[in-house]
Amino acid sequence: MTMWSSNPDHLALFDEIADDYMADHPEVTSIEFESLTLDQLDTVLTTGITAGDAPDLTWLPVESSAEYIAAGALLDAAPVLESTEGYDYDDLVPALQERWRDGDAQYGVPFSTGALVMYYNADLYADAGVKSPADLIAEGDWTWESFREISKELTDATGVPGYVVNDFDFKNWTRLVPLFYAYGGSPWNDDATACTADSPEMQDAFELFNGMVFDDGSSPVPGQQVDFWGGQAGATSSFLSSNALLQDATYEWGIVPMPSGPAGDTQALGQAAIAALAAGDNHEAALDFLAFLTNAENAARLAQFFPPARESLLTTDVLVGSSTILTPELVQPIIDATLSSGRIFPVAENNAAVADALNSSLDEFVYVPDADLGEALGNVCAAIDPLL
Amino acid sequence: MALRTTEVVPAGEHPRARPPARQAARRPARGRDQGRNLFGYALLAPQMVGFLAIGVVALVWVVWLSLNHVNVLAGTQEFVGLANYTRILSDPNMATVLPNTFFFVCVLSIAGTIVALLLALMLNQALRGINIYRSIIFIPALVTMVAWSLVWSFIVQPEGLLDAVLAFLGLDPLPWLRGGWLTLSVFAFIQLTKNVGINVMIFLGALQAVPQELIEAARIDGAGRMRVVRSVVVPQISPAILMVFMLMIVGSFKVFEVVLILTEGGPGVQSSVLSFEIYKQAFKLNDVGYASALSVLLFALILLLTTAIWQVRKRVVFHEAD
Repeated sequence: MTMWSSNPDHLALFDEIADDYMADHPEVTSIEFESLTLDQLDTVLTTGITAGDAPDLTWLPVESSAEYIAAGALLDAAPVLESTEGYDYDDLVPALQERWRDGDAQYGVPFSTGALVMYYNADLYADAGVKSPADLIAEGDWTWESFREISKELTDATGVPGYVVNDFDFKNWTRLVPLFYAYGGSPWNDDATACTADSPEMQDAFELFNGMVFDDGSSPVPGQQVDFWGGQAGATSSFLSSNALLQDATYEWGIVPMPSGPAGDTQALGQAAIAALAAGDNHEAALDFLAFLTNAENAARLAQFFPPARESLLTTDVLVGSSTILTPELVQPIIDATLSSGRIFPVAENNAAVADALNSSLDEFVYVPDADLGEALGNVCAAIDPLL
Repeated sequence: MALRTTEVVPAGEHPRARPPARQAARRPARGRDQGRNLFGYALLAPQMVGFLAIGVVALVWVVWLSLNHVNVLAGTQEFVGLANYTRILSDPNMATVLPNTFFFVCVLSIAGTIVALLLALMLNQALRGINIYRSIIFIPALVTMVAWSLVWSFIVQPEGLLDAVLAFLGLDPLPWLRGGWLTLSVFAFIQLTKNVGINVMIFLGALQAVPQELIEAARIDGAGRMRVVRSVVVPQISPAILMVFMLMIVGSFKVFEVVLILTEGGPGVQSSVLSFEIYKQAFKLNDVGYASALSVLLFALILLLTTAIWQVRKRVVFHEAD
């Protein structure tokens, strides 16, 4: 199985689950987990499929779901999941399975469904004498506008960026989805047939973002390397699983849901699923292990690292697990956001081409100083519309 | 009485076209030659087998793929004839990608050769500690292009070392990696400094093989230093110059890592080149058919250019016309 975590704790747990499975299934003699970065995943899968050496199971981001399903690259797991004793198929939260289901078929089982959340360096805010995100939440003023203000104040006071988007580098549009949703925008419509990147809502969202980058200087400019985890920024947006990077942090920090905007409090949910590849050699065994890996018991074990998509497991006890970093108080707002105001990332059938065109055109036309956003976003739509 | 023999020459054959009678008498020597040739071919065989099995088969396979639409996720392919090639003509990105590619070919082949030659002439001195300078020039060639590019990413990033130097001089920072000629020039500089050491070594080897008596004769005839270089040294090392020039042309068509690591071809495709576009189409966009067509185009361009230069070598390279 290919996966994109190389965290030793994650790998140890996957190996443990695989050992448990093999103990009950002597006919399966080996289950290997191959760690890849998210960037490498698509390349390794497509190369493996072309060469007739595809893995049996893979970890897939939700952005790729429609593309892989439409190509017939994934196996329908529903019959096996429904018929596996004790699987409790109905416990899978339907809204969180949406991207992987097509009619009665289920092409992947989400095992990590998490909102992008805001991490902040409490010491930096305290040193700068600036209200922190927690202070704004307490005041009931947790919006992107107020966040922009405190970010600029922090930058003016300390000289370090108030906000850096994690894993973004101006080449990963999905990391801006919380901002789009807060303003009621999305790069394309619900059924991914038309570009909406040039809507007034998206224009407002980019005005705020570009303002932080190019006017306020409170967010890094393209190409500038800033590491929140090393204490070089006031706040960052990332997934809950990134909390492991704070294990050795030398500063006080906090986690809060992403700010709200004119469209209200909507949280953007990223998602990854485990799916069985049609090009794999061992279909039956792959689906059987998929059912074992994502059953209620193992989903609970995985939930200490990855937010689950099972209703029974969306509790603070499960998510905190044995973590020495997370607390129920930190995690509860994230669970609330996932269940109440969470929306999964937009998905397009032609994902690879659309994502490339979107990232590329945003970089060329939008992420520039003094951009005429009306014209720039029109250019973005001109680039992606033919691909939708 | 001596026995005379008459050699019968078949009609239409010039007598000189046949081996002289005295060579025919050296049968044992020819046997040695054949053995030597056989040994040479045996040494070449693994390379030739590898080239045929991997190089030629891969080449034919890429040409075949370029005539297909390949769905790598579904594992299917559909014959589409020349559609991928006609798409190259209508691809708006090619209007930027191809000129960028030729920019690197022109700049790196000409500037790379000239800079390496000048450095080699400077380093071809019998001075104390000259080997230290030669080593310094050669060190970048010892690291990988990926490592070299990563080092430069810290230097040219916003508020990086270059911007700090500009600030020290009272100048505004420049958008080194935000596209246009500035970014292409930065890439050319990074690429050139990485590879110049190897070319300098090739030139140093050639310079040290120039016969000293020729140089001394020119000096006795009253030639100055520049005249000696122009009229004696450069003609003598012209085969090395041609080789470096051709290597630079082939290498500059394949500029890739620096683009991948520093800009991923962006913003848009402003800093992209053909080899990066092939990678992007094949491995990021899963369009293997189109990527194969671009690969064939790249192969054809390199082949055409190197063949053309090879053809003119007799006019520019000393001794080649002999």
